[in-house]
Amino acid sequence: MVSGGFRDPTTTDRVVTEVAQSPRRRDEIRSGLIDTLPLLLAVIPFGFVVGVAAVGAGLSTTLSIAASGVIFAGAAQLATMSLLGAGAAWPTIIGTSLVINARHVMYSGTLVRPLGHLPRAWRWLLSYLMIDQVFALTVTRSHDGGDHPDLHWYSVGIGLTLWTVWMIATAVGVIVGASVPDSWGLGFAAPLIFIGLIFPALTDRASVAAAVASGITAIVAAPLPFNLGLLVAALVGITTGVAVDRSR
Amino acid sequence: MNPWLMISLIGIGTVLMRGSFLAILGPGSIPPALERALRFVPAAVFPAIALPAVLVVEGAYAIGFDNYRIYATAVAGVVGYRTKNLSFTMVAGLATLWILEALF
Repeated sequence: MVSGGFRDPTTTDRVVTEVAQSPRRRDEIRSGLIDTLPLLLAVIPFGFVVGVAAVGAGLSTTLSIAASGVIFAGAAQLATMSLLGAGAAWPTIIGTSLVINARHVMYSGTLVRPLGHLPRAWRWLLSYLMIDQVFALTVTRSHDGGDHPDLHWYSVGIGLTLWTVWMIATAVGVIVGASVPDSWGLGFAAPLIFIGLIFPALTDRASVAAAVASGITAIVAAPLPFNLGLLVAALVGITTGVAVDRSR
Repeated sequence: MNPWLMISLIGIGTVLMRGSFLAILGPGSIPPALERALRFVPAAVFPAIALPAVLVVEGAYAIGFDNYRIYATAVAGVVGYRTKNLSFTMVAGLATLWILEALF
């Protein structure tokens, strides 16, 4: 991951030693791993579904698994596979996936404050890993009032764990065709993650107003195609928050 | 179009969007007005992901007494508010859903 790591064996040793010697850094990694555990309830069944969908869309076994590493975004992958299976034109498929992922631009802007000071290789690694759940936990920790100079270790701990689990779950879906019965209700685990993370984000009157406006808009705008309801709701929520903030 | 090429283009587009501010433009790229707006991203994004997933089932609104996810979300919301703990919140929500589905 770090350039030159293979040519210079001492680099790895030094990183390992640094990690071991820094209790704060170790705490960040450990917190990341612990906070990842509940997310697996949502990520594993979703990975199965995406794997099954990829095979169903006619992709080869190799590409079905590789897609999880190349795209690494559940909702966009699922949309890609359904559109491919339905025989949609390729500009439609690419355009849809990118619109679905457009929210990541907002995440990227939000993370400049807590993570922008890092070396560029770190920032690219974190960008690649920055799915909804990693963003949600990272931004929540960055606002928890504590001092987190090693926040990136927390994020990378979550990101690499979810990446590994996502690859394995998709591969199992692709090869075994495994899925979890709908009656287990694990599809409900994903929204519960974000229900749980809403409250730490409500720090003042303006953020409460942002959340209420966004929630109402998201429900009303849910029928919009390409996940556009999410983008519209986020923009309405942000605008409301700014307006309430300014009116004080 | 070759499916490998299509998947790669989607992957490249995604990572460019994720890296847009954080990795490409970097610190100093965000004017103060945008900074004030970005403060609201978590509060504005999390409900927008969660609520439609609770209230829309297979593309149709499911806003009624027979949608057990609504009660489960309410319980999870209370637990989340009181504990600020993600595991407790998720377990409370899933357990409520399972109990309601077993009972009715």
